[in-house]
Amino acid sequence: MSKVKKFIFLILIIAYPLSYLHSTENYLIPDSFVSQFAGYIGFLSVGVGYEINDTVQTEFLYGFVPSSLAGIDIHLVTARAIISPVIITILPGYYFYPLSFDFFINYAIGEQYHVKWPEKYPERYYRPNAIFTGESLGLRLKKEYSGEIIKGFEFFIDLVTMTVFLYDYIQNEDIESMDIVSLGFGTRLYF
Amino acid sequence: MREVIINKLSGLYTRKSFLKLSAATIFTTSCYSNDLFKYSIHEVKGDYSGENINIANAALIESMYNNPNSDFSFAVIADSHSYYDELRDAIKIISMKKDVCFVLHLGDFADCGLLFEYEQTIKILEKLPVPYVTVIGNHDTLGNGLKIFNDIFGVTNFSFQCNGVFFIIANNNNWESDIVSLDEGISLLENRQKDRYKVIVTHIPVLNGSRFSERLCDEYSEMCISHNINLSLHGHKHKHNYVDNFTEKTSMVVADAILNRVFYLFHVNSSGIEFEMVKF
Repeated sequence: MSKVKKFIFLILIIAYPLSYLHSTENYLIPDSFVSQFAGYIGFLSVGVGYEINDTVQTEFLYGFVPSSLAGIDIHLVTARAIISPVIITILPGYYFYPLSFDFFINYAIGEQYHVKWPEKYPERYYRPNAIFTGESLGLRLKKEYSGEIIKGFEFFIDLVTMTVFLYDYIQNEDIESMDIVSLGFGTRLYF
Repeated sequence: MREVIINKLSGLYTRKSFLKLSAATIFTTSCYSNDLFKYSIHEVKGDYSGENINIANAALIESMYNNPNSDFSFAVIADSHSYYDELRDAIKIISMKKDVCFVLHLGDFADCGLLFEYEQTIKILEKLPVPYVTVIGNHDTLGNGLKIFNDIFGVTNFSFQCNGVFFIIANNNNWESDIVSLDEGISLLENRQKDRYKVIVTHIPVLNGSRFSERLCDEYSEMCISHNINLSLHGHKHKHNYVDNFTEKTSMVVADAILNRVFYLFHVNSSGIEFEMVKF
């Protein structure tokens, strides 16, 4: 449990300056609620997002995979940055983001996963297996609302890979691209 | 009447119900599809779940090669990690050797014990025209690796015979699997007086060093002597090492890694067990 606390503390340290950058005065109050299906961050994951500017946002999510699907219960905490440099206004209030780049850090909760390995192992004997990074490329479709609470709704779909898989894919000719990618889709509710 | 029925039927296919049906179908399909949607790098259940590959292949070897006087050869590969192209190249060469009865992978086919790493390795090994068995390496146990190994290959400690030669395959990753004694391995050796030769296969060579205590090393040597072990076969070091007189009865071979583009051919005949290194 102490490892989880340490990670949450780490996330807060990262989140604090990032959230400070975002435009509203109440910088700790999130700008969006996000939910996602698949994409290496859980069967289902939910979290909050902060808009740093028009093209960059950060998100913090908790994801879960039940043992019926994965063989064991998996609990994941993910921090990700989303960069969407191109914004197309389809109709007034409707926005299409054709290129959305995500970079995420994934932390697995469980005693079999380590950030720092026990002392019986020599220094740098194993790489940390609790933390993996990933990347994705996706599309976003957002509709703005002028309501008091809900300011917008968004649907997104991402093609996701993990950095370690991408590295193996580049190093080896025979790995099939389907083996290293996953689709993920979800929604964002802006407030 | 006919019009009423048609109207009712077409009502079922209104836009809303069609969308609901499509969404439900996509969701249900996606939950069980390994190809399009993946949930975590740490998943245990995969394409090869429940296949018990080691146990099935060991039984196959026993049934195919049961003449205690017949000479034979087997191939040995070690420490492929994520060097899948090198593993593929070795498998292609081994597949062309007609006298090879089976292939032994000495472990460490993963880096982080991930299902992805297991599956990429098996995809290559299953192209072999002969059975293969695997030893669990220290990297293969990491994270959920031991669970994945058990799920795909079966138990980590087992034995089989090939033309009168007795092979013990055992997990000796003592740090990762909290192994403090060799009792389980020794129990497999009970009542094995009639074997032509005996071979112990583990991933890590049991030699003095930081991993194994002096007591455990002595226990291993005594076991090799008392049970007339002919060959002690290992990987892990990524460097070839041959110890002819590990004990007065036992030779030790520490195999170089496949990532160094080396594999081994072992030849069993009436004069003993010989090996050759094949560089490719």
